[in-house]
Amino acid sequence: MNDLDELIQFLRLNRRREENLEGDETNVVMATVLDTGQEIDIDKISFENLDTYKRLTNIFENFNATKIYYTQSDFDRKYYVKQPIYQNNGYNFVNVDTGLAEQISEDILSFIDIEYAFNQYVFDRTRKKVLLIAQELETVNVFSDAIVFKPENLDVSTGTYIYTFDDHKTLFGTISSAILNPLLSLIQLSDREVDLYKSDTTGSMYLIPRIGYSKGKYTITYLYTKSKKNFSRSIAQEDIALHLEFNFVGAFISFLNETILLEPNFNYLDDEASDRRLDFVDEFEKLIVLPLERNIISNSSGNYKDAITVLYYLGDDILFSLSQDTLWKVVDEAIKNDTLVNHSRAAEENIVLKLIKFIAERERNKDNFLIKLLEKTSHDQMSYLHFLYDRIDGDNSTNFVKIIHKTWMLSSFREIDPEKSKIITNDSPVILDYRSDKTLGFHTDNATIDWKTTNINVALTVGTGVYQTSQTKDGQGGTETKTEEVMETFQYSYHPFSPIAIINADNPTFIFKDPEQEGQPYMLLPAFVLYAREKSAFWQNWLTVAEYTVDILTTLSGFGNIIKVGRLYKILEAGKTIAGKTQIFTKIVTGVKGVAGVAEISSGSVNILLKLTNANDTELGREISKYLFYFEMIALSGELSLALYEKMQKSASKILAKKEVLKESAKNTDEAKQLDELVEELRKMADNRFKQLNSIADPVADILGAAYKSHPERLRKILAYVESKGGEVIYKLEEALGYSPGLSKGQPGQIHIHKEASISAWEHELKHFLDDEVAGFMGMRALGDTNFRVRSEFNAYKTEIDFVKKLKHKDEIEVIRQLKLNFKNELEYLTGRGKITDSDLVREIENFLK
Amino acid sequence: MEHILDLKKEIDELSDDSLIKRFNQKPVNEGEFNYYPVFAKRIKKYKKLLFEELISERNVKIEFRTFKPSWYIAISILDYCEDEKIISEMIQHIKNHWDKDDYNDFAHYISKEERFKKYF
Repeated sequence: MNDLDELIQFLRLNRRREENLEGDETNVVMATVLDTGQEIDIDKISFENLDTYKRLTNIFENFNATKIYYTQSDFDRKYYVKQPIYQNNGYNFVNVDTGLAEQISEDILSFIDIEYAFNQYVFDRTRKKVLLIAQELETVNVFSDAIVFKPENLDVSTGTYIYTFDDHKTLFGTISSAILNPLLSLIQLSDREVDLYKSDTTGSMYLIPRIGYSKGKYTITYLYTKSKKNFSRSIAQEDIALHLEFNFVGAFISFLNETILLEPNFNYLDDEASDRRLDFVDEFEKLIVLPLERNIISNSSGNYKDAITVLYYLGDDILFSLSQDTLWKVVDEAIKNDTLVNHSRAAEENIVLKLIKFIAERERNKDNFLIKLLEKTSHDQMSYLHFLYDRIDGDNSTNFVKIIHKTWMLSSFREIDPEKSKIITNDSPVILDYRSDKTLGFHTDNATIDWKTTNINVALTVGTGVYQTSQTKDGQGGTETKTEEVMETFQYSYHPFSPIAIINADNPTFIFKDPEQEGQPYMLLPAFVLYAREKSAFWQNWLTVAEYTVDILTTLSGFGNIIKVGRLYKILEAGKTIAGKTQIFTKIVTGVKGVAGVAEISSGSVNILLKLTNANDTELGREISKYLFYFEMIALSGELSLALYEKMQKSASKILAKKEVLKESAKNTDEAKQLDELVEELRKMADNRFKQLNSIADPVADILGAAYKSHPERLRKILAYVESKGGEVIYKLEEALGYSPGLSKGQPGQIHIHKEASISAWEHELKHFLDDEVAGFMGMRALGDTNFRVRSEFNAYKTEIDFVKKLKHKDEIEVIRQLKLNFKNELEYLTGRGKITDSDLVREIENFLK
Repeated sequence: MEHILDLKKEIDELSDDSLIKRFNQKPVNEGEFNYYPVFAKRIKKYKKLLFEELISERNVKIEFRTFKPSWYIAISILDYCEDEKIISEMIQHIKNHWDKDDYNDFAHYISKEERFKKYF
């Protein structure tokens, strides 16, 4: 856990409840009825219900209560606190249950002094009694939002921290998933930086902070009252216990999500637990939600991008506070800009899809939602529905179809009685003899479906029940008699939401399943879903075909022209990337980190390769065709299987083997430059070491991830140390690790390291630096000293292995085995170029490797 | 002029024949790296060998976390070759054969030495 994680854990609104539930065997809250002394146990989960067990902290604080008054009759007893009336020096009594002032004579009331902390008093609405909770404040689950702030118990100090907020769940899923890894590079290091101030004095602190924006930074301030006691009744909020400053709004909202907004005991839309919470919601509205709404309606693309970024981090509750019109406006902008691709700091396609889901679910009249989807966009007169389906890819595409189908099932469009339906015509029969199946991974059906105009056209070929016999030559001098059913093709034209019933028995492997219609002999769906099914099956078939027939396809003359009208070309020409356009790009490629960044191709490279498909070297031309074909497969399907990735690697290697031929084809400087870039892309693809390096050269990265995420503080110290000694750190975009001694004696060296390297790899390279320092910075001379080099390598690997042992990770054995293997390989390499003469070192190594 | 790399006396005193013979015996007892400065000092005779070593895959493509021998060889030449023309040729040679990043990293690495910096 890094330090900021510890802080977040400390500040989480629901932490104490969870800890209580975990650590307490009894799972009950012990309480005493205030005025009778009766002891009762309350189930902790029940106690969380603030409606049943109303906390009295606020009402006590508001009226500076020192006594609880109660009616003398035990039946239907009422409890009050005294409210001074300043105009006449009199009193009212405020009912602690209702919060309302009542005119009641003090003579008929008894009272009890408030001797304990305010947050130990609750009103039990079932028993109609005030209860005193027995547990100490720090062990009782939820009381007020105040806690004791003890600086010594919180292991963070004032300074700058790296907040890896992108790892956390947001409304739209975990953005650090392999799918979106390429996007993360768009989050700059400065976006993650958080400045923290921490007071060093004990006090009583509210878990609900003040938030604001000042000098380009979002701020979160936790106020408190300094006190040596565990708890004071009232928090004056004069002093700052903790203050955080964020550079990036996403980090700011993520922090609040983790500590407050997404906590189960916080309700953004209807939280009346305390005025402080209401104030917090009010501040959040002013700071984030209102500017968001202004940005959405401003019609400015810059503001739209800002809005999308904020939307990415907002939770459900807050999104629900936005109006339908505002949400539609975001969808409108996405369509207008035609930017539905997950290539920005926020995954735009995911967000828009989620908004569509929200709009659909919240719309009471589902017909209205569907009618809106049929409105024309400015893009070739396509409807919203058609355009969105065309642009949304991969998993999102499937989810989009599900949303439409679910909404449609609740609309009047599903009406199948032609008398009642407004959209069923003679050309759009409800019952359709549609038949589909899947054999050997290949989808077949008896329909051709297209959607070029407003309506969806279906050409259905069905058997007539009439059979005819024909005779053909059998090729051996005789004849063959065949009896076949006469087939007939019917043309239909459907409104996109026109109902169709397909018989389940005729469609055993139909791609789309509706769980709510399970058990029925047929499935009811809108024509649009049938169209979507056809498209999906088509692309899946392309993938299936690719496995079997790529060799045949790529021998076709004019293959380049096929690619030119394909999906890949379209995506790249639009200035987008394959990785950005494919949602499940790396889903199947488990264990191959960074593959999404590798399996990429630029528009320039495609153009160059297309020219070369007709190269004089036929073999090269075919290999290039294959390579492009594999990319087309990814672009079409949105999927990259491991098998496909391996084929691409092989293909890239074969092309690279003829890189000289490639380079010779350059006709001018621009082409030569483009070819260089192409060769670089191919090399990246072909280089098997790429996928190994993460798991083999730096195996700890597989279990801990990058050092800047797992151990930011230690990393900062390493960097500071190297810098203080005059050393240099060279960050590499590719997987690379290594220490280069300085040039001449006395000169510190350079650590060459990949930015995603683990803390273990950093410690390894630091060890080299330290060994060099102890030897007085040997400079290049060190490289000629085999004993020194092996010793330093030995020390570095020992450091790493000791580190791994301390982790006690489940994969420890495997990681250590790999590290030892790495050392062995390096040892072989070094001793292949020089001899170890230090016999002690040899013995130590032998023991180490046993 | 103070050199960056040491010349190992026992290698420096070898005849040309012995030098190449012992270099070709793998593993090289005195350490392969220690031969390069000597070859560089006698570059008129060993230019071909050094230029081949500079771009040989075993010296350029390194599987492990170790210093690239190709860099060491280039530094040996910069350090001991007194023929400016050969140095210019060598720079062009590595520029043509090393990856662009590799070349740029190398240029950055040696930039701390004024004597070398002027060539890049």
